[in-house]
Amino acid sequence: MKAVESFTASSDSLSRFPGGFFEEMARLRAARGLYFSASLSDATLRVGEINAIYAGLVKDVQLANKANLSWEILGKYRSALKVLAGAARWQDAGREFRSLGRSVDSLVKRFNSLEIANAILPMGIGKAAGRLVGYSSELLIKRAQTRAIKNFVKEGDTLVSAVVASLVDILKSPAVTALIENEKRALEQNYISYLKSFGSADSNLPKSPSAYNDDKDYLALKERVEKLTYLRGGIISAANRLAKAHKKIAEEFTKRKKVDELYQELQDFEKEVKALQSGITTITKDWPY
Amino acid sequence: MKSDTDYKQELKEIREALEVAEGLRFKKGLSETDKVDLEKASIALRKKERALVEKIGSEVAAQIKASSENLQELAKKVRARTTKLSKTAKWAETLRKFIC
Repeated sequence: MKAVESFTASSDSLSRFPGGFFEEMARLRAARGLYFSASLSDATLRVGEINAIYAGLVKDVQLANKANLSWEILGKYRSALKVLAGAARWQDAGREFRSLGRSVDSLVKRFNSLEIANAILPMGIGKAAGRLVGYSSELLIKRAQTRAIKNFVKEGDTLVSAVVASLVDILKSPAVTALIENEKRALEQNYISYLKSFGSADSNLPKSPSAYNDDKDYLALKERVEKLTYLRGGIISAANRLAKAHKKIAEEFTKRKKVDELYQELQDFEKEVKALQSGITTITKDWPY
Repeated sequence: MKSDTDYKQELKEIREALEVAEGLRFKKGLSETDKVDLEKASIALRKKERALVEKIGSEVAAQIKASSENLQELAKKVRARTTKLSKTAKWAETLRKFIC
């Protein structure tokens, strides 16, 4: 059950993945927008454009967070499943009844020590009975728990697959591809405008005094833009692996009977969640914007 | 809702129009007024680009929301079942106290 607890604890980071990808695009859009605004000669227009870039960034980030919805729901489903699968429920019930058996035995001991009757009550009966009742209650709750999880996991598998498939379709869609492509081309276009505002072959304006640093910044942005396709691919394959891991849990549940026999499958699921986590770290580590 | 191909084409057209506008505003010998007018034209195109990107983003978010609704319902059902199971465990505890 440790694996379940562990993968549930990581759901907060997981919830940022698709949103992280769209947010990275939004921040790159804002960063390249500054090249355009810096190329404007009219101060009022320039400030107006910067304000528009800011407003656009706020909206885009809000939308990016909405893209996390499916992940958040996957996380909630996983948390709910973990609570349901928790061992404590049936273990506690069993433990309580076993301790009741021990109490009965101590009562027998006290009764015998009082010597109020000729007959000596045998020891160990309460303990045995308590153990029996304990195991029965444990079994009863465990069985109900297993039955519930089995049904939910079965139903959940179809839904998890559907959510993941839909997310993959969206990420692979020509619209998202067009957005990535637009960032690649527009970054270059906006930087050219910026450079032209300082000086170029057909202009007699002086070159930017910080040409080296400007080019260095452009290079860093270009690297991030080029990584978008790679990041999208990483999220797609991680999402597919996650669905596969859930499918395995569902299959194992159909085959096996006990709730506590899924350690390996849950661990595999956790491994996929961690792979997604490392994905978001890659996306967010270089965010100056 | 527009098709993905429409969006791709529209983004491309905006980029091409911006390229033309940007080419004009950096031409030599422009008057200050002409330069500001051309800057306004480029700004208008950038505004159009932002609006289109926002529209695509909204549609992506709406698609994701629609695809997740059923799973959200299931998560609610799982939680309800957990509460019911907890009640069973509680009942066992009450029974134990009663016997003791």
